[in-house]
Amino acid sequence: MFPMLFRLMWMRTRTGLAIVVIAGFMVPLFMLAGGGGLRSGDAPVDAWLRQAELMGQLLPVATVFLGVYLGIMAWADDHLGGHVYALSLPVRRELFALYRFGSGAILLVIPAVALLAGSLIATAAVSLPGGVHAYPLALFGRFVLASFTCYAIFFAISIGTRRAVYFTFAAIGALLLGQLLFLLAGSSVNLVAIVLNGLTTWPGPFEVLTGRWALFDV
Amino acid sequence: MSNAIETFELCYRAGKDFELRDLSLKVRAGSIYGFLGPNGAGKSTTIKLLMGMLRPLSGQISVLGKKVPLDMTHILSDTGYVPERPHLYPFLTVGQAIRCHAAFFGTFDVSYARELLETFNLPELRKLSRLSKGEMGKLHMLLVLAQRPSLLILDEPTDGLDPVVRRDVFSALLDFCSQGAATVFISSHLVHELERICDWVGVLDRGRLVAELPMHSFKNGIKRLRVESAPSLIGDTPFVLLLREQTPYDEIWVVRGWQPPMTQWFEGTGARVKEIVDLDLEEGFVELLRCARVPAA
Repeated sequence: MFPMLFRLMWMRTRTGLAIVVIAGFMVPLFMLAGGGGLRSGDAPVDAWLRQAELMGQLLPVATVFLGVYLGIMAWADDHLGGHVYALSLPVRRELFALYRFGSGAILLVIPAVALLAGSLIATAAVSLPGGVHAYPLALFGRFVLASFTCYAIFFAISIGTRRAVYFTFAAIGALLLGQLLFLLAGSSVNLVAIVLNGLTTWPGPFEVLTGRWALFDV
Repeated sequence: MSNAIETFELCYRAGKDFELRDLSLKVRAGSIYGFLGPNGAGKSTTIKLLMGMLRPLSGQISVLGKKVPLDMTHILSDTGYVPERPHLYPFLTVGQAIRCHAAFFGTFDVSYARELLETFNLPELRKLSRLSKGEMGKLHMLLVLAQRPSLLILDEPTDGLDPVVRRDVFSALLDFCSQGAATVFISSHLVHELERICDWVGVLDRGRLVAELPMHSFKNGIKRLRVESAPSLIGDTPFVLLLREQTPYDEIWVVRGWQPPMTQWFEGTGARVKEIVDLDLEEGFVELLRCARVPAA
């Protein structure tokens, strides 16, 4: 059963995956651009590192896209059919959900491997200036962790009932309404910033998306 | 196992407007059971309860001798289900849908599926999203028949299909039934459709089981009688009086379980049967529903 569910997930998501695979492979190569002939102490090394860091900002975007895409696509066709097909199969519901989750989790690794390959090629293709180090494995690990986190969150949201989705939207609406009330009352409390900060700083789930996504660093 | 499906005092409520009340069904193993009812009667809801997709408020359900929802995996492995609306993954081709379905059912008969593919003339390489309604209906039937299940639960499987496709689907179903001892539970609001294939009928209306009887009783036993000098009070009757209506000159009685010698009963009460009209299945169905609704009105 798992091979079939994996195959279904692959068939459904391969186009989107191909985009992220290409992006994952190309971003490290673009990070490299212009850095090959630099030596330590050159002023352009700083500028080059900043450029590499800037390119690195594409990676969290790619991980979010990957996680959201796989998380939503995992259940998209089941939602269309009211989950009737899945419920009529002789598989325990929790096992079916686990197989589905596992299929997506395995597929996440493909773009991550493309990123690792791109990073290894990029670092091998140049002699790095002294003091500059490459972290292809760390970047790979971070990419896997970040995309897995996003995937798990959006998988959980998309598996939920319509009521759960309404609840999520109601919570967001309540947050925005609360912020508006504070503003009208002349208060300096920024509810949205507090929540965003909670989500993106440790132990918030999206902490892994923030910070520096650098392949090269000093 | 004498009954393939058995429900006992099943209750379910969906919102304020609809509820199933004390539904007690008995579907004999090996029978073809027609589950009739007008739109909105609760047929699909009942089927979803049988399939473990909805939780009842109270009551018990047993399918293939096992409890719902406790033994759902076992039940589903031996049950073929065609839902009211298409539910297969639209990105698959016909061939892929067959292989996908086969992966989940150990009893799936690939060679029979191939045979049905040819019989139904289905394009193997076409995506499901591009199939016509008739082709989709045939594909659903192909998948469940090739499972070779002990129980088939079909929720209006031919609804909206043209007569040619409908005939193909029913032919395949009857062929399958003739090969083994499968039980078929088929819902429909098209009475004449079930007339030639079912041996038992259950009639559901507004969430209540109005009647459950063998098809031959349903077909032959419902009559409309024109009765002269009908007694105002009646005691025990040898038939079931479904409806009694006054006309200026006589009375119209709709009865179930009618046999010709029963005219003597009327003679014993001083009444006379002027006319006996055979109701066809559809008329019988309509009368049955009309009678069921009289007390509520």
